[in-house]
Amino acid sequence: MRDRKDIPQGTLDLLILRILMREPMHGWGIMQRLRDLTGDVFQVAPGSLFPALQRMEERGWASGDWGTSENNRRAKYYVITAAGRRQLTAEQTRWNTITLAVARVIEGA
Amino acid sequence: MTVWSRICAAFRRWRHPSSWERAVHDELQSYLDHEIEARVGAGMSPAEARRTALAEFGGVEQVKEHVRSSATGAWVDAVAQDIRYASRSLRSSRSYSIWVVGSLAIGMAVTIAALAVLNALLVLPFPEVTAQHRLARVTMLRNCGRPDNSTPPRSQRAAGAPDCWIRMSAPADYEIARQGLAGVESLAAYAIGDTTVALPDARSVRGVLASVNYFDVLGVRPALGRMFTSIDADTHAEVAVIAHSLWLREFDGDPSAIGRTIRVADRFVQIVGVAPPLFEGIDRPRPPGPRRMAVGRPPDVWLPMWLADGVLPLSAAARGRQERDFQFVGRLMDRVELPQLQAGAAALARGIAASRSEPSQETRAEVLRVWRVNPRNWPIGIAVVMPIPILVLAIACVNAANLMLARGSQRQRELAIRLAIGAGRGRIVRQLLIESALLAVLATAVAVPVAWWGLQQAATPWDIPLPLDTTVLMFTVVTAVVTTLAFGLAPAVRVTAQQPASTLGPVAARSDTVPGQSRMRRALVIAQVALSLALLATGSQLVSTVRSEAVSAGTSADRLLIARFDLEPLKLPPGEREVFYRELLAGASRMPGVEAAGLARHSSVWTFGHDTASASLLVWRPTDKAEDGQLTIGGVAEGELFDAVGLRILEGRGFTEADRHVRPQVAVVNETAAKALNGPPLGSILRVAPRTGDFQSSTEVRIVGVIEAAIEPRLERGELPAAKIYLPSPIQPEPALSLYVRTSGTSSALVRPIRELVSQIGPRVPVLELGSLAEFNERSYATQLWLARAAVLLGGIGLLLATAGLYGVSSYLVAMRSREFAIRMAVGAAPGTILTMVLRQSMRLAFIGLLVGGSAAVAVSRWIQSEYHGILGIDGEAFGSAVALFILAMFLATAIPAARASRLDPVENLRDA
Repeated sequence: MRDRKDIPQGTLDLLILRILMREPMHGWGIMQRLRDLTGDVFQVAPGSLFPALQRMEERGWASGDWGTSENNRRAKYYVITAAGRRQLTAEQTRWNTITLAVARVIEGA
Repeated sequence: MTVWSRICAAFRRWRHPSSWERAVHDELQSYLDHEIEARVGAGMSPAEARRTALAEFGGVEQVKEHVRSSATGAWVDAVAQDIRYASRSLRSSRSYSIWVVGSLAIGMAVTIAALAVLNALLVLPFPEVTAQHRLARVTMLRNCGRPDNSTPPRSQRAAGAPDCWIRMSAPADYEIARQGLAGVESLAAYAIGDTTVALPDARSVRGVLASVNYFDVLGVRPALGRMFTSIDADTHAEVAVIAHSLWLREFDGDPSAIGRTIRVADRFVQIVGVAPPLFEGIDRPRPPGPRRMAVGRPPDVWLPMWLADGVLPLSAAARGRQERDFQFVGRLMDRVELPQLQAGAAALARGIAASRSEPSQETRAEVLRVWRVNPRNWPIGIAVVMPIPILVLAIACVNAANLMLARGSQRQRELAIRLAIGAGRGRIVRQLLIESALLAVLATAVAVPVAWWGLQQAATPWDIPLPLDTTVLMFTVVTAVVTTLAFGLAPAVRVTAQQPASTLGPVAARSDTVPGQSRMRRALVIAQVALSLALLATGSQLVSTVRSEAVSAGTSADRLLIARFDLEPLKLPPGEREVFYRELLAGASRMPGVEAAGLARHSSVWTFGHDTASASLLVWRPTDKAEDGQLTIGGVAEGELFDAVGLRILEGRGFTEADRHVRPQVAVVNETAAKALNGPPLGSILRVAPRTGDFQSSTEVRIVGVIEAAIEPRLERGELPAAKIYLPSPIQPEPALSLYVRTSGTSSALVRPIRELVSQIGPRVPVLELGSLAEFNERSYATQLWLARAAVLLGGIGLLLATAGLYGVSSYLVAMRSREFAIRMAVGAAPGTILTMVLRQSMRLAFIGLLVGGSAAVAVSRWIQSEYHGILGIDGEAFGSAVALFILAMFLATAIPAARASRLDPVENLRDA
């Protein structure tokens, strides 16, 4: 098993919302996509994933509904809401600002 | 928006907790199933896939807990759960809970009561006064210009002034001041003094001479009738406002009292109003000083200032200056603050000084707020009142902490299991703290009514209201929080600092594994024992010291009735005073139940130590010069004074009717005076003159008798009482005499007949004080006695707490060492050996505490002795009984756990591990 990194502080919500933008997804699916998309670099433990999902649902960024997954298993699918989209835009802007600033420092130093 | 949706989510969760739990469970299960399926798909065997998936997942319960604790309002859930759990666990160990709640409640009750006393003494505004913080006390002073000689007595000087400053406070000064001070709505003046009122029996009352706007400035509304008006001022009406208490006492609360005419000193005045019930002016009634027999009291009657000397005779000090001292108080105008008054007041002071005829170089003005006690002086009050209650609370907290530790170690298994299955340490500390908080809340619920009851008891001798108001209750909450942290936090941190493995292991280390902490606990017990013994011994010492302040003579204090009079303010025509006293003595002597009656000035019978302030005579030998005369206490002794008071005649005789001449020719001296003569006292000749140095009225007397000296407080060890000389008739006017009556039964039966006699022979003469010597003593030292008794009570409470503490620790140690005892007994130790071993070890703590506390008590009583100049040193009886009580209590506290240890069943104990 390759050495996996923990998700940078404060970006978990951003990543989950971005994944949900594409299609509604259940917990395991989100974890799987995150691993695939980052080329197995980022690891999200269930102990962080599920509290984050709950938080989003409570804040109205995503709504969870039980459905059936592709391999005929019951799973709770999360769908991004309008508020979630707004939140995603805001987080993306924030993230862009930060990365741009960091990049400038690295290049300029 | 998000806040609202979060609240909705939390609400849904609380409405259906089980469906919420099930949903979380299902979601995690679904995740796991997906994971396992994926792993099987990748080629693992189903069992292997399951095992690795679970291992990577990291514990289903732990993840659930993460989800639960991240939910909105999760802490509310957790706390509610903790409270439920705590109340269940406290109910299950009832005796422990009662001990902790009981000892905390005692400590808190004492603290709350002390806070209420402080509040009443220092903080509370004067009752019935409107917006006290907007009042300003204005004092204007002038330098009297002669700083060295003829400095006025202390009472007329401004406190702290290095040289001679005199208050400008005469009515004429007020007339100028009330027109000229900018920034105050109006300025009022008042003066406090004593006078007499005929109701119809003459009574001595406290009167306030007030300007017409006094009640308006203070914002006091009448309970009945009206206050003074400007029409009164214009017509110089002869009116009075009476205190609510006087109205209830003398008029039975009858509304028709308004309009009645009463005689105040020389004048008839009409009652126009009754002040509201709690109004006592804006001055603290000072507690009675040990040297004064008078009791501090609030005003009984308010009189307009134009009646002046007619209703309120000048005090002795004011008589000397020929002017009355008024206090000025004003109400600030809107948006004017106190400092803004300063400049105006200074200018006013200069103006007033210029209007006076006396020369003065300098003036100054003080503008102060009206306080019960200036906050600058609060620390002193706090330092006097708070230490002992805080000490008691500290003992209680130490106690509770000890019991919690003991219980914590019994619960180590339970806590270890909870730590092992995923509870965070913070969670357990929180839960233990919630248990402490629950105990503290219960203790507060017990403590508040107890404190309230105690305050009711205290309010009577102190004669001040001691309410439990919001300030006190706020501090109570603070006390409860501090208490919770004080006794709960340390044990909670201590018992959670454990490795579950060591506690749950096969050979549980069930003994005090950390010697330092055990030493700490022992030190706490020693401190507790020492503190409470010191408190108890000091308290009983204080009681006997205060008792030793009481005056006495041969006659028992219950059978000596004293009635005090002062005819000076009545301004009787010459000769009438003598007639009154003669008829009083004759009437009292004839009463049934009276064995002896006599008259004397009170301060010539009992003095306090060697204070020559009350000495009224100059005495010298005829061979010496008059200028060498000694200031001596003494005066007239009429009737059978010595017999009544119980002073035995040691040599010679007392006075007879034949000795009464206009100029006394004989004298009786006390033992001390007789010894000073250096020769046979009987037949010696002395010259006596009034203290004023009026040698014209000096007279030569022959000593015909020697009496024993009365027992006086405040004498140094081995010191003789003051020398005294008594004469059969006065050599100077004696307007203020006291009647001493020795009765065959208790003296209370004669109180009414004496009153009736007085109103019959002198209807205008007030009885200043009337009661047995026992009552006089008790009343003079009421506050001190109350404090001393409170100290004894607190000491007793401390003893109770310390006993409980020692019991708790002994029980704990026995429980910890049950394995060790079982092994000892298994290899042959007799139960008796175990018993004595435990007893010895626990009693050692008690004895160290006794030693420390005993020496502290001795040190404190030495200090009291040096402060009070009491005859008594350490009161062996009080001290001994305190120590004996202590040893008994300590023995019981250790014997019960020791007996329990000796009854252990070794087989049971060694099997259980």
